[in-house]
Amino acid sequence: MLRINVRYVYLIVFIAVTIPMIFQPNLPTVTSPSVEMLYKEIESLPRGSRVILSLDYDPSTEPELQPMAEAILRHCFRRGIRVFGMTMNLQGQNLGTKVFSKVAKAFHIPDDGTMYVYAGFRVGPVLLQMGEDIIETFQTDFVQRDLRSLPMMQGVKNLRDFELCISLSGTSIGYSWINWPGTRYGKKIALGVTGVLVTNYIPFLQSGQLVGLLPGIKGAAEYEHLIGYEKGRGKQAMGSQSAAHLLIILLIIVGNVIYFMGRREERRQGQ
Amino acid sequence: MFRRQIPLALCFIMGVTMMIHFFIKHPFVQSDMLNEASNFATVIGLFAMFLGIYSLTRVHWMKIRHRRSDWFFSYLLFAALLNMAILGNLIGTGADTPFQWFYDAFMVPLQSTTFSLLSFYMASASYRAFRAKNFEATVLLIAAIIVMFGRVDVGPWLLPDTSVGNIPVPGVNELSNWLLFVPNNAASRGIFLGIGLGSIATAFKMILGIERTYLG
Repeated sequence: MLRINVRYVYLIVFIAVTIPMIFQPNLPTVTSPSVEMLYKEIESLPRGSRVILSLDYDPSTEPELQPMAEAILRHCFRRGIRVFGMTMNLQGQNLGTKVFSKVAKAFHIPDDGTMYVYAGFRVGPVLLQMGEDIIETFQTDFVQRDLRSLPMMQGVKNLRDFELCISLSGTSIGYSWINWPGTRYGKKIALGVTGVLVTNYIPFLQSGQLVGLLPGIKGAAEYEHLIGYEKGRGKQAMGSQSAAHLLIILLIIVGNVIYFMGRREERRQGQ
Repeated sequence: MFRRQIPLALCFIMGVTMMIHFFIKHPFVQSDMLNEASNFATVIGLFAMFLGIYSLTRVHWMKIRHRRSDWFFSYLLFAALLNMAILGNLIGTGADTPFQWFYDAFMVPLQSTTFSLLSFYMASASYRAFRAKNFEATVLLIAAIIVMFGRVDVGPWLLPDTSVGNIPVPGVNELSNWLLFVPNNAASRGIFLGIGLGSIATAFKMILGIERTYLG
């Protein structure tokens, strides 16, 4: 029984993940303290503050992290907070421009560099250079406009001119944000990470080195819930995520029951 | 003679340069020296990129030349490499460009699909390999089930916080958070401290030229 053809397991997973996508079950969302912390941090910022949102992911983790980016951007724009977008992941820089355009369009914000700037990717030790001179580090935004000419960047010199840095990633780049902008330049750091990385970053949350942590797609769904955006991709994905988790728990239980039944049978035959 | 001394000297100079800016607040150290050192990193990074492209091209060219298994896919790699490089350099990489179209139509679905295959392998592995064979494995298994159940909406909905008489009984969400923030945190912190101390020791050994394996 344990040597079942794995293709049947794959088929069951496929069905379990697909059905909630179609029927969209509306389960209640319970928020976590680490997500509430980031929400409160952004709520506490005065109108016109500047925030760095670094979209440090590539297409492989986009389904888990882009909903976070969208929810955070929505929150910032609703509160009148200006956002400097960037990425530390070359393969992800074209994802950033899409999410900024989409959310700005929803809020009728023109792409004139007043409320947001998306600078894309730069090679080198960018986090270190940003601590000294952001304009010199990036020089232009993603569509090659001189950063000095954009209204949001007037009076900006370096990291000190930003209230909060948020990095969304599926890699260990979060440590660099904690080490450089966080420890070296004393900035407040919040992270959004894929589900598998959450446990790595929890110690930094408890030590106060992080002011918020969004854990995987659940974190995105919780943030959407907090800002009252119930139609987001995070919430939509929670049905499939719930079904997949339940199925894996069920498979573990079934696998163990069969395993112990087999062992009992072996013992009985041995006697 | 200098094949070893020069790299060792460079390693020492750059290692000390990157370290002292934490301790010396002089503007020269904090600004000019740090910027210059960062520029070195940028230039080295660019050289590494060219080296990577050269290495990739060489490996796949040899594959085609010797008709090794799946050699045909190497042609696809060259086509994709040249296509993206030409489009990006000639027309640009901004929104509404052919580069963006290829990125959205190929790169995004291919990478997302590859990553999402993990869920299928995990489901299969959970059925075949996750066994409560001894006490430690049983503890791990129970903890994993609680965390998996607590990290999705359906968990707190099915097993919410409740109380028996005056005694509060934590739900699966509360239990999951406790597991993540207490036992997991303690273990992670211990591991991080070990990694940190190990990294400092290794860095010092490299800066001082005691550890030389990176020289080849």
